[in-house]
Amino acid sequence: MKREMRQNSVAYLGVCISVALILSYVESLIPFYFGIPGVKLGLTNLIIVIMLYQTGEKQAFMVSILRILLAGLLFGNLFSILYSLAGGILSLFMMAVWKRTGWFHIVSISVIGGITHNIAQLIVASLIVQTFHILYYGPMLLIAGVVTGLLIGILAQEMVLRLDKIS
Amino acid sequence: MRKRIGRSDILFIAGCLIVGVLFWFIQDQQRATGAMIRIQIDGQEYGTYSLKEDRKIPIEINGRQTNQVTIQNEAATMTEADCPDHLCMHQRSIRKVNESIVCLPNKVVVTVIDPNAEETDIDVIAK
Repeated sequence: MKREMRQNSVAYLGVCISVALILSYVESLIPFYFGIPGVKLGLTNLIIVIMLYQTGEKQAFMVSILRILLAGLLFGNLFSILYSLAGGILSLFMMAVWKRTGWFHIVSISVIGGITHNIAQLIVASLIVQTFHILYYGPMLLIAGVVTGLLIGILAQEMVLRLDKIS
Repeated sequence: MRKRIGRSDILFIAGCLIVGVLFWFIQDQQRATGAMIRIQIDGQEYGTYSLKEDRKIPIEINGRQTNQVTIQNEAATMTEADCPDHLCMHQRSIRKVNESIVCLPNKVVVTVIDPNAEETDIDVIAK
């Protein structure tokens, strides 16, 4: 009960958004190019996955949307907001749905997030430029989503195990 | 202590990787080295250029040069872009059919095409 109150507080969610924003900034600083359009490490997904397990779906959703809007205004442009919103909303939705089934552990949930994020961005990109040729990069983005999702998932897993101990 | 990873996770992740690699492999078998590139801006055709001759192609939108495509050794790269992130300039050079470079802020798409097989193109039918 006490823990629930704390995790719904403005301060707690504020810290989560701040951490997510810092991760966005760190990611925009690291030149992390794979030579494939649309592939990113997705560091911010770390905090979203942790929140999904530690706090709740609603809070994770709020933090995700606010993070995208703020990061877009600070480091990006309207394009990147539109882009990230598609990826962020779809990946969070899919992660929440698959988490509810209870079949998978954190690692797989994070991989699902990585894949759906990439796929959503690819679809938005192909709509914006009005050509479907870039769907050609689908398989590469699938593999990239698995790899980045796996890295983030392992990190999130270790974080959640440790956070469980202290709270 | 909670379990970190289960059988279902390993199956799922391995499955995704296998599907990805399989599709990639199939694509790689099918695609041939293209002879031309097509440049599109906002879905409209800007021009087609042969990959055989080395050249630099400036791309102008509303009288302002926004991007530059360079063709060298039968491959095309984006060498200049005025957008802030320069993501397109970091993309690999393209030489095989359907490979493309996208500059999203300027809506510029560079695609390798095979001039002989172009009529089967989805975009052409949609026009």
